[in-house]
Amino acid sequence: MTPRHDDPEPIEDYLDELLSLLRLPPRATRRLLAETEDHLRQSANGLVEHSGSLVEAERAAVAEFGSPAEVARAANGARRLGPLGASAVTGWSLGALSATGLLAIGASGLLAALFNSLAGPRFVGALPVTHPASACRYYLAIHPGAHTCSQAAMLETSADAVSLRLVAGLAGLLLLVLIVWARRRLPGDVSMNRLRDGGVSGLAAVALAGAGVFLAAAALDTAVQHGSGGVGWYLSGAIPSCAGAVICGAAAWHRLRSLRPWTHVAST
Amino acid sequence: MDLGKGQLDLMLLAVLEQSPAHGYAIIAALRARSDGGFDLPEGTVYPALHRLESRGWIVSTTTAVNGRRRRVYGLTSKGERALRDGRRDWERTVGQIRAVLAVAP
Repeated sequence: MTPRHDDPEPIEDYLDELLSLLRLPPRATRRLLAETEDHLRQSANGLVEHSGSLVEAERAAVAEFGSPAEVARAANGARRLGPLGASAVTGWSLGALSATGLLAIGASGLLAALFNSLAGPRFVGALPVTHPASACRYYLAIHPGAHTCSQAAMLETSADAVSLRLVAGLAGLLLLVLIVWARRRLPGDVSMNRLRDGGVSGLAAVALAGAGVFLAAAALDTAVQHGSGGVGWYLSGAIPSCAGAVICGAAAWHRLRSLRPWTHVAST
Repeated sequence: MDLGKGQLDLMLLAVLEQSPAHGYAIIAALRARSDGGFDLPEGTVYPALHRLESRGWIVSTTTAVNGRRRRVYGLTSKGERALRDGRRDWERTVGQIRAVLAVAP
């Protein structure tokens, strides 16, 4: 006999309510619902003789199973990370953010080297700052070919903009290798990993965009007030920061979009 | 009787120590072995089983029974070690509580 639409179906109603309360990845949701249905139907079959009707047996089976809220709370809670897992994810996220920042600094070092070779050391190194006498003596000692303190400081600054930033980039590369290696060992399911990766990418995008805007403004300010000297120092940082912000923003969008949180709202 | 997560996990491992079983049978065994004492909501056992599986303490396989896929859980060697350690800790705790509760002569 085909059941009428208004026939009571306690197990179906229970599964609908449980589904609406679960906050699990699709596969885990389907798995729990399949096991729940299997359990409830088996339980109802065992109770039908005692209950008198299948509907009453289903009601009894549902009652013994626990409320949907109780089961959903246990299932959603089982997915939460423990203190150790949360610490590992936090540490990894901070490491990933640091690696991104260091790599952007390394890229700015490469760009500074390019500026040095194309426009000369003045474009990067001639920052409009005054130098104390002790610093002047140091600069003139390591750049004996320089005729003035400003010239020696410019040569030193343009060289440091390359070497120190490249050292930071190298550290970023090493950290990146460590981060990639550790990523596979982190706890979490597919959607939690997407949320984590998307969150880290989003934070990196915001930080790099902020740095890019600040450095671009500093480059413009230097150009307006002092001419081209030292503009490359800021510009070599602004360009990779903005490029990194776009790349990280796209990565964040790609990862977070696949979670499609709006579908949960639409289905309720 | 209220159960903590650790105690429920330990009892689930103990049930699976004897032989692999599906969820319904695990709950039935839990109830039978406790003589009905641990009458917890049946549905909360499945999330606990999933948690144990994510830790690598148990493993599940699916089999077809009367045309329906049924998931059967079994203990892993890591789960056997966890059960052994859990039993030892439990015995120690129970011994300490028993010593404290003992009526002084």
